[in-house]
Amino acid sequence: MKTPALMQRASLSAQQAMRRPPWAGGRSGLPGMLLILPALAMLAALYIYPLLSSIVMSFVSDAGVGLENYRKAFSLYLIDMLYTVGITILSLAIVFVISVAIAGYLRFNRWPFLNFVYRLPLFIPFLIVGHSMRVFLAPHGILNLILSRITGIPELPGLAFGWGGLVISYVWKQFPLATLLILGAFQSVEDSYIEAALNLGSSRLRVIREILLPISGPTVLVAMVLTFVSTIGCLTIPLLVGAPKPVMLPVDMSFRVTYFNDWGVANALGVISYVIVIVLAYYYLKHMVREEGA
Amino acid sequence: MATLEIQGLTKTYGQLKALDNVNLTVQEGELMAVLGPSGSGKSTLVRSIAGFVAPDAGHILLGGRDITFERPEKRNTAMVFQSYALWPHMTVLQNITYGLKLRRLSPEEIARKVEWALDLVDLSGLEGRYPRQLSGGQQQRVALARALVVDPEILLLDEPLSNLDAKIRYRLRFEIKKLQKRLNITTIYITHDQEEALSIADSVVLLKDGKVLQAGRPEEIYSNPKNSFVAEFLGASNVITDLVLQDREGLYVMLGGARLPVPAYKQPGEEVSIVIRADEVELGGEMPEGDHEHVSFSGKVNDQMYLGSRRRYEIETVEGHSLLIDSDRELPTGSVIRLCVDRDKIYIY
Repeated sequence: MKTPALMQRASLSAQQAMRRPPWAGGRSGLPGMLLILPALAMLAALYIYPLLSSIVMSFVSDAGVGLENYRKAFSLYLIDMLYTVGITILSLAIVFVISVAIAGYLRFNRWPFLNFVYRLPLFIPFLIVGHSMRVFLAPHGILNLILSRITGIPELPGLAFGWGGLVISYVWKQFPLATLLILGAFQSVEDSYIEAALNLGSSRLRVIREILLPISGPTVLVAMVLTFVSTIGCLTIPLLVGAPKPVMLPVDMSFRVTYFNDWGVANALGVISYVIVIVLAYYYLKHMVREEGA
Repeated sequence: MATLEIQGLTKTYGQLKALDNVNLTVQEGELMAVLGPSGSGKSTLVRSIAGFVAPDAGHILLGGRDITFERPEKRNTAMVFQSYALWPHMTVLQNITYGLKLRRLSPEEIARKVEWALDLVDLSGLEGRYPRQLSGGQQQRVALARALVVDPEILLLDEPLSNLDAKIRYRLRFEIKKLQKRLNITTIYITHDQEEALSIADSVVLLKDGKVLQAGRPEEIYSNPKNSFVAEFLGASNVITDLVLQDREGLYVMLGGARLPVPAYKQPGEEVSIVIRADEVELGGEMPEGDHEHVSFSGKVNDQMYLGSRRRYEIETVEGHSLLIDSDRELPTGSVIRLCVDRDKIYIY
């Protein structure tokens, strides 16, 4: 997965580390540790401790320590788990296509308007996105009113309360960040790499696929991981948009806690979400390594 | 292989004229060196031939076909970049194969051509390496192979050797020339190094501020530089400016007590440039009586520098001009000597 640029940078910094000038301090001096201590403490208190405790608590139920919470989670929410994975992967795929298309277009063409406007959803909170999608995609929402005018069909099914609306909302909210990251990576690819490919007869589409994407591999991976994690962990959008059943896992977790005060199953569902992310990331990385090796 | 014709090519960037009405013809199989200082427009020229720059005016004809506004991918030119632009995520083999795959050749044909190209640039055995695992010279060869393997109509070399150290540069220069002759491929070679241009090219074009200052065979342009800039750029180390004098015999200028005639288009009192190459002056020794082929003048050795095979002397003339002269003779600093130079080797503008 390492690109040459990354490896060069890595080896460069290794060289620099070996030849440190005499005035440079040691790698891990006490002042350094003190400087990062507040950040580390926050991370430990607010993230690492709750993570560990939620893993522990997922194995504790009224029946004592065991897999009771997981048994319950699978028997009640297996459909939701599959639904969550499916919706997230579908959204991710669409985000990938859209963000690469926009980033690719902007790498070859100057269009300040597009370059500005694609970022707008970044600044709109999840709650607002959920609510406006609910209004926009409702059976008598803005989209359907416009479509009815155009097509002349008076009653159209609304997208807001099905998987379609959910995917549209996720994609709309998530693609700008992915585009921002991928465009940044595309823009740091030297012009001469692109020109060399065009010069040999490559089309722009092929340049994006065969030159820009592979060279930007690590950044694309980061963009996709961020998109995946924030989609699978998002609560507000699936609370407002989507069918009553099946639902995304965060909704189930919130439901277990709010109505049953059942932290055990909620934690088990949380741990299952982590496992989903880890397993998919593992397969993705393995796939990438194979591609690289081929 | 094809003839390249450039007619009235002009490109402006804001106030800057990168190309100013450039007219050139490169014959089939000819290697033309485009020489010029940085900012002279030579890169813009080659980039507009490749299609990365759209000219404001003029035409580019390749084999009679007008390609001025054709997309780069349709032109069938092949460019070797100064940075080589080898794709870092592809092996040598993948880099070289890329253009062939785009041409939808059969796997057998691709294999045959790649083998030919690897053999051509003497890189067999390195197919599986990544660019970062190659030396600069090897990377340069891969870039050359990648360009040549697609059988382009014209080869564009944009300062192909400027990132290499002197020894490899010297060797690769001759290899490129041999290769180009063997394949008989029309080639444009961009460089800022006059020695490289003169040694490799069939014809040399000197650009400055987007204009062609002079074009011709290397010998022609070297022995008949059109003006002091061309002379200086082609390696003349001494450009002396002085004022034109006049007496009954006509216009002249003085150098080391010798009288040098000045072209008639000059006015008395006007500035004139005298251009002399460091290695074309003989130090010491008297000129035979009645020799009209040579000019003899005198100067004082002010300083010297040992260069290995020869010495470089700084000579001061009685007029206060300072000249750099190379010689294999050993002379003490401070000595006053006679200098002798072929009349044809003094350029006065």
